[in-house]
Amino acid sequence: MKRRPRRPRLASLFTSMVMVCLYAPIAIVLVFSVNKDPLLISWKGFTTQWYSQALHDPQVRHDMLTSLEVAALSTVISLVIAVCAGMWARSASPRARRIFDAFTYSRIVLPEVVFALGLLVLFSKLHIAFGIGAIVLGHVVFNSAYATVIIQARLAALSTTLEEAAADLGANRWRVFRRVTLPLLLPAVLVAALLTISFSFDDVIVSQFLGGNSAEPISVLLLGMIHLHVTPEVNAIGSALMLITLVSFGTAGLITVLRPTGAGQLLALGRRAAE
Amino acid sequence: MSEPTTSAVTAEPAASETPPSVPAVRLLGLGRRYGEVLAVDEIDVEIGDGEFFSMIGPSGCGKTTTLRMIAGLVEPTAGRVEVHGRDVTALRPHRRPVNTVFQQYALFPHLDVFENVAFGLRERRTPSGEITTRVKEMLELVDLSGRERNRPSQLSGGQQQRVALARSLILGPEVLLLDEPLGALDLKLRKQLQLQLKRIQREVGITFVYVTHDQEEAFFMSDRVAIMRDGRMEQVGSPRDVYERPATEFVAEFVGASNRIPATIVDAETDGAYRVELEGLGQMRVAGVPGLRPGQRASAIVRPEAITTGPVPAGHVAVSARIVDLAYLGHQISCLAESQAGAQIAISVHEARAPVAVGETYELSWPVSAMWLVARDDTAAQAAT
Repeated sequence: MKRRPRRPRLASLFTSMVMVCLYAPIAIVLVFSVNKDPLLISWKGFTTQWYSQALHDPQVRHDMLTSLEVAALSTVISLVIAVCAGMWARSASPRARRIFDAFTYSRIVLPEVVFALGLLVLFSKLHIAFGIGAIVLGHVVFNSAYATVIIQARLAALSTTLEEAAADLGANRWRVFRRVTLPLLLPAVLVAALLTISFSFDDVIVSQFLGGNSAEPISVLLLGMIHLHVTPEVNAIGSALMLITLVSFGTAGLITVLRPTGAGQLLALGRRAAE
Repeated sequence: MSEPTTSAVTAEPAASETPPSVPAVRLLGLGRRYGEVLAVDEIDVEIGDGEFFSMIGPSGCGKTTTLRMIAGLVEPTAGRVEVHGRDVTALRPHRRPVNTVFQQYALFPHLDVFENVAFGLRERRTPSGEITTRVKEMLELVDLSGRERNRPSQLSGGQQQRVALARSLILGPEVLLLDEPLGALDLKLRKQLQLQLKRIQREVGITFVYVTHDQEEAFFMSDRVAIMRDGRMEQVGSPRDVYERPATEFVAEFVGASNRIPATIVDAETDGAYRVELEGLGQMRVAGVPGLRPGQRASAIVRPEAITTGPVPAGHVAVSARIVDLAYLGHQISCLAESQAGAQIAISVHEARAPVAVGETYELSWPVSAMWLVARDDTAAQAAT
């Protein structure tokens, strides 16, 4: 294999530099989260004390729970919206679908700060209390859009013949959905759930705008801590958040690779291993 | 099983049965329109109890749409569907006493073979003990014992097809609808499964309504076939009827190779035969479809296998022609000959009986009784291919 095209040196160099610039900050956060030096100046040895300090901080624990709650609720609501929208879109006219798609994509493309502000004004006009509920609604705005895109794509690829077969064998509409459509949709639903969970965890803007005094997700807490000064604890929390996101995305990616046999194949593998 | 009735779209139930049984399926003026396009145009037909009935025709002729209307998967825009005398037109698919075997099997990929077959029984809340026994029995019937825990994707095409069949049959439908169930299989497997389907149909005694574009397959399995074109049934009858006494030129062309000799009706005789002037062959007396009028342009159909090369016996029509092309098909040789007048004649001969060679001229002959008159239809040949 000597005849490989010559490597373009300049492009390689440039790409390497970009990669370093992009990933260096992440590396720094990770490194300092396990560095003994509390002033974040030099390497003073490995420690996990910042993690345990963060874990024992009541405020961190409380806000982490808030984040979890928001992520779980907004994910569930978004998935229900996405599945309903997907089912509707399958039988909708192409024109109605295009209009619907435009609305879906707009929720992804529009600057978050704009609709966060919009929601802030709307909720105060309607006297909706700020807090977890408000944040959840805010997250649903973009999370439902992501979930809709994923689930709609899967549904579009799913032939209606299987559902017709189920109806032909005596299943009414609800049973067809329960026994055929939903199981076949499951990999897509899982992927969508993992993505929306991580988006929810990462979000600062909507959470900041709509949290009011009563609810503070971990991302907002982190931002507040950084305003004072960057401590090793901040690095530890940041690293933990990063890990949650990475694991979610990684799992989602894995499921996507295994599609279309998807989750069913995973279950079959597990069953065979158990035997 | 009802006796195959002769021709005519409005076939009557078997005369031998007393009292006359209610047809398993009866379509009354059934039609389906998609906007401007008429997919199915007012079909009237009765399918007898226990009959193996096939609908054949080129793609787009409306055969699958008709089948789907019986299943309830397509709503008719006109007419009614009756199953054993009961009007089911307004019923949703899951409430109809019919089941379908789909073209691509449509097995549930997330369920194993057992659960696929048990699907309908679970919908009926059958006790699980009974489900186990019945699924086992059904898998035996289709030769798939021991495959219960396989996924559909782990089975061959033929096996998947049998799972699809078992899944429908287990519900004991009044009518089983099959939409080109063997279409995706290779020839050898198809032949095998045709035999198996025929055997199973005889064993369970259920009415089969079968859709295919393969005329040979339909002939092999069916008691009666319907030849469809442009949303209508051009002829309904036993395979023999349809082949030997086609109602139209299109039917003649669709159910097998045919030679068409241009003819003009001279006179209709009382016994159903006609005096005709055959182009280049003179006047003679030939049988044909009813209703041809004197002066009308017609075609005399001759099947390639009715034509022989040897000496000309009495009562035969003869024409001398040169062989221009020859194809060896194993059990027979298919030839194309050209007469002096320039007409092309397809013949099919057994090599052992009469050797033929390209470039040679032979005296081709066929019995007058092997000809059958139908009305001339210039669009038929095109539509059939």
